[in-house]
Amino acid sequence: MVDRINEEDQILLKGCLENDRRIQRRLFEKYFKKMFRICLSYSGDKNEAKDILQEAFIKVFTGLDKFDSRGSLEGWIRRIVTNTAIDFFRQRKKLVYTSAFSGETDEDEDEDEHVSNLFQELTNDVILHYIRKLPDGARVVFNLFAVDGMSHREISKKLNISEGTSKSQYKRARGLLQKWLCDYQQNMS
Amino acid sequence: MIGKGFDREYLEWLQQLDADDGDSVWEAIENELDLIETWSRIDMELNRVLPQRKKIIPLEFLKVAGVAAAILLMISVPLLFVLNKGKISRTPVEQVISEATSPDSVPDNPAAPVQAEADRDIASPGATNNSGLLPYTAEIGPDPGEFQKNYLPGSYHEGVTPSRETSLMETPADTKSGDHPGKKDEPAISFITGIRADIVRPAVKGNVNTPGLIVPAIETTGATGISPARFIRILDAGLVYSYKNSWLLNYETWNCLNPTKLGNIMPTFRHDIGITSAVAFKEKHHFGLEFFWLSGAGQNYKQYIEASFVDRKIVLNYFKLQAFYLWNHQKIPGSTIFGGYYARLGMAEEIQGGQKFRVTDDYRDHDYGLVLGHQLNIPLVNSIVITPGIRINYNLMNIFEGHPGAVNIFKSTNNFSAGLNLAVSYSFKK
Repeated sequence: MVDRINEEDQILLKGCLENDRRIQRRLFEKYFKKMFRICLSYSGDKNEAKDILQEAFIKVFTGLDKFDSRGSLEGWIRRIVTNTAIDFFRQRKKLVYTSAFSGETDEDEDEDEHVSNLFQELTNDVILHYIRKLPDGARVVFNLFAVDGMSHREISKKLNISEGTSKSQYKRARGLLQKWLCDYQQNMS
Repeated sequence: MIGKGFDREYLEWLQQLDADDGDSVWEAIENELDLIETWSRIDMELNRVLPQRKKIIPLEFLKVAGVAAAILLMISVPLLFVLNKGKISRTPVEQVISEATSPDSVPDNPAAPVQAEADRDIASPGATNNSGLLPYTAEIGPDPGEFQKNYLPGSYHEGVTPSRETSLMETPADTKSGDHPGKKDEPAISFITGIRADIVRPAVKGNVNTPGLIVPAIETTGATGISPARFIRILDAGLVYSYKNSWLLNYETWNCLNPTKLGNIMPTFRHDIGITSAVAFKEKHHFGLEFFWLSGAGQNYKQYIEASFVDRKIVLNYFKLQAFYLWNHQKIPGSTIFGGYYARLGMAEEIQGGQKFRVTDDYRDHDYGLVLGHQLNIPLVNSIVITPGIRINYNLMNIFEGHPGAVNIFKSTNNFSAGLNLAVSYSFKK
């Protein structure tokens, strides 16, 4: 379903296209929290996330004329933020794709039910903390796969890695996150 | 499989995170990100890659400038005229004298010694019997009363007899000193200006046969008796009070007018107190000027806030200056007024359930708009006049500035008021 741009976004869009700095700031104020969260989920480091956010919004403002107003403005900004985050890692920081840890398994069907409760029971702060703690490479792949819905083939092309690396990194991220969250939950109980 | 289940849970958690705008997570995120600093960096970068083009004449500026210009014009024109009234009344004559007495323009002045006398006469046009100047003759010298009557602006052709016109159009030879019939030894005097013809003539040298060149000097010499006060005259001055129904036209107000919503609009009345004055230009066009040191605006609501209905008042107090044209009807009694106003915000506060909050920062400092109305002038006693009337004010800009924490920062608010006006003035005599 295509989200139509709402009235408020239309006003913002118009002002931003006219290069009105006040409106640009308002657009930034409206979306910076959500976008900063995305940046943090990719980067893990606050300062890096800030840099990504800054770069992404400059791309938003300079490329707003390319936005197709039939879609959602938020979705469009989100895509730019994601791409900027990936570019950031590709250009400035070499992603290290570490190998899977020893306890990781490919099939953990038994834990599926347990997993389904994890996100319900833990606080947002805790989950965010552990996501940020993931290794960069694994975190980026995990976000692209789980959040942005990319296939491993698409991820491999985007990050210039093999499909196998993408799969292994995803599993690693998922495994680590699951382990940390489970451990935390057990410790708390 | 764990993968799908975990991803789904993760995604759902993320979506829920997005929806929880008031969650402490967001506050933590906001605290981690220095908004101002980050925006400053973006702004700096944007200034480099996307410099703002300065609008040559922004529309917003034009509207403000229009109202400001109208108000300034109404204040400055009479002020300038009053300040320069002496200069204005003398200038044309001085110009004539200056030209007449200039060595360059008076090459053949035969009677230099008499110029000083002529100057004195010009300075006091009523005195026509000074030595050195000829008294008016029976033929060309009208009495001052007749002169003024005939030569008030617009009456030139009606009042001038052919013989008088002839005297204006005399050639240099005709009016040359000593050649005037019956006045051999004394120079001829223009009956219009009271200046000797030989003095006047050089000023119109080369065009002496064109009476129109002299006529403007006639109308402004002061000999006509036209006073500058007739150009502008203060008609009255006094105090003005207005009791009005005030509206803040915005989303909230429209919403509260909807009976299905949890909120009501309450009748809102505010008042204006100030001083007023009216002036007449050339006894033809009348303008009014009002300054209110207290001009109230705002809106009262009864709203459902935090699980109970509470009274909510928005009180805005302005300093207001309004200027308008008074249009007098032939058939309808009184004057219809139309003009503009400029207001500066003095105080803005919100009273919610008895608690006061200062909200001056939420509203713009300036406001401007239109004023329309109708009023009657009713003489009371002596020179005291009462002026009841109705006034409608509508502003032309969004007065709500908003703040980052506002629910809808694009909320547009306009000011509207309609009310009764009563002025008590002292009417100045003509």
